[in-house]
Amino acid sequence: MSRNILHTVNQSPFTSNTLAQCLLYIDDGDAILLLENGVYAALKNHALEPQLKNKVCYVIEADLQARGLLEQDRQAHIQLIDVDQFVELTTQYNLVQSWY
Amino acid sequence: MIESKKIGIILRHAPYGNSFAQEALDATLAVGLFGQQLSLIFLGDGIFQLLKHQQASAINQKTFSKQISAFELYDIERIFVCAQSLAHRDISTDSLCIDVTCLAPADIKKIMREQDTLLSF
Amino acid sequence: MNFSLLITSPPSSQASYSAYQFARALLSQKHSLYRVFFYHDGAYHGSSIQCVGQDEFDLSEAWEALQKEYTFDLVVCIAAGLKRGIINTTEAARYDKQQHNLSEHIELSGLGQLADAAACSERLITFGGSCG
Repeated sequence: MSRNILHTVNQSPFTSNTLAQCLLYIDDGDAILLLENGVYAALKNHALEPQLKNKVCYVIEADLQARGLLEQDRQAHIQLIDVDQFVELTTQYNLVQSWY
Repeated sequence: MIESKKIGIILRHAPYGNSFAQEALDATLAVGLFGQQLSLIFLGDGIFQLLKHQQASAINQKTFSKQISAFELYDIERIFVCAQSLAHRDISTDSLCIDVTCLAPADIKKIMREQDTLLSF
Repeated sequence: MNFSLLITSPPSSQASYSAYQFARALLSQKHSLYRVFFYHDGAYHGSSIQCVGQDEFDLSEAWEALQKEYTFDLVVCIAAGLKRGIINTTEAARYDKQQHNLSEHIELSGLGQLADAAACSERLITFGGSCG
């Protein structure tokens, strides 16, 4: 039985290959949640933006707010969520893989 | 009652630079003792844990590869390594200290999804 | 749904704060939290003598208050704790150390507790990463 995975990524794509690694193993039906320093991946025009385009992506709004990123241009398809919605996502996806 | 579960352990960190990989190994053996069906999935720098010829006494640490031979004793047989992670690091399976199943990322994806729970190390 | 958390990050990492927020949110949504297992540098959460600035968030106090409100295990892995100097009176005596510092609301226990949490929980979420 094949299951869907929620991938959480908390490292900046500008300092770490963690997001790149995650993208190697993500499949249709999966989603990515960017949190903590991982939220920098929500910015536009970085090397991994093309690979994020067709993925279901979420980002923790409070982490964007803390980092002054609410006022920056971001990839439009990435949905802002809060921690309550993070919990809901973990119940909707069969598995959670934390990339850190 | 503890139900039997398929537990996937994702191992992504190189050994020796800090204690993380060692502690991941300790956790793996503890979960192995618990009688669940374990799958070990080595990705990225995690593949370096499996290299032959490690001599960690050179830096006053316990040698990883010696402990990894304990996997057999714990009946841990489902050991997967990402072929792309190996190729990217110019390492062949001949250089690894145990028998592994080497899979392309597309097949690693399938193994991950067969699990009931993933432990992320 | 029944959750457990594995926390490998130290209190100084934002991942540890995310873990606490996640725990609080799941409990307020009426899910159950079986166990929080602190491993690797997460063992530092076991210290009762962290001195947090008045204008800073006290994570240790927050976990203690959450545990008082709901029932769940807060466990520091004994092996990870020992090597990081997070020990209770029993281990202090065993290792002939003059001090001990484990918080009262936290238990020191073995990796079997992590294995048990993985087996018994519908969701096991890992929070990790250094402060860098």
